[in-house]
Amino acid sequence: MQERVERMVTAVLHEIERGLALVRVPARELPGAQQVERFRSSLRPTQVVCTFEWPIAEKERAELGPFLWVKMSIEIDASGVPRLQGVTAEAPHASV
Amino acid sequence: MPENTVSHIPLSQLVGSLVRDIVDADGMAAKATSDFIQNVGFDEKGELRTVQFSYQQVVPGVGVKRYTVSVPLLTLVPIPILGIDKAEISFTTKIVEMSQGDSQAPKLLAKIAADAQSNSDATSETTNIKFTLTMSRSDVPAGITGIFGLLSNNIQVTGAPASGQE
Amino acid sequence: MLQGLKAQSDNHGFPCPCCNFKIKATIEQILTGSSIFCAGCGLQLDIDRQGSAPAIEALQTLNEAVAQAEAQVAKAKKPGAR
Repeated sequence: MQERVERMVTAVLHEIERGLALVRVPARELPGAQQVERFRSSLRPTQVVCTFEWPIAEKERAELGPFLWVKMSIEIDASGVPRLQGVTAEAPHASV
Repeated sequence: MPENTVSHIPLSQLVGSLVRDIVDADGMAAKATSDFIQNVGFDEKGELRTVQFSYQQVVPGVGVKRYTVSVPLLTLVPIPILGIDKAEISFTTKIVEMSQGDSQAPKLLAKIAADAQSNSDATSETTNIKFTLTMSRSDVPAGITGIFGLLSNNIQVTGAPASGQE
Repeated sequence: MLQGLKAQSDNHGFPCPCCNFKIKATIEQILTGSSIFCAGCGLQLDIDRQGSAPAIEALQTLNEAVAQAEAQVAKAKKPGAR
């Protein structure tokens, strides 16, 4: 299960990165030939928090409950690259 | 947001288009400020509109002397600086497909969903994800800083013609 | 969500030619040609209406536009207004 959660986290992170790349301006279009791609506006995305319920397999439900709450905290740097700051997983209905 | 208003699209496009909309809105606000500066502060030839004031000052050994000070009009009226300081976008997507790419990260197809909680039929790869994306302004727009510099450099004091002396 | 709409009322004014104190004149003072006094040193500044005619004209236009906008806002705020 952990591997599949990690796969989803990686996929979400990459989708955010691809999405922000659609808004960024390539360096060559900016005056002064900036070294990195950046946002045209000084208003830019700085943080994303994603939360989702992850269904737990039938055989583990007795122990963990029906789902996990997964929370991803992501900071976005000035060049628009998302950096994963942390992932927490909580089983709100766990029996222990 | 109602469900089914958006068909399945790559999650990246959804994120990108929402961010782009906010940036576009900020651009429209900045354009309004720019129009104000252009229409009020500059004439048809692109030259600064100025207000002339005169004043008298005692100059030791000379007596009272009259001066003129020329002040850009834009220093006399508050400039409405319109823009977005901070924006927070919250939305929930339902992941409807995860590609099985080998070398690259899996790609996600998504659609807008009503709520992260209403996820009873979710499977491990069709979960609902709630996003909260924050956007902030990193600095004062460079153009505005430039305008203030231009204005302060265009305040000119001149001595009046000889007839102005008493 | 959009918190940034603001008119910066503090960004105007010019330094007094004698003491550098920031002088703020109102639009009304300029339109009526009233003298302006520096709050720092008391210097009296008189508007040269002839030399400032293009600026005063622009200010008049702005003043009228602001009045119209305010009237529309007031109208929109009236009960029953859509």
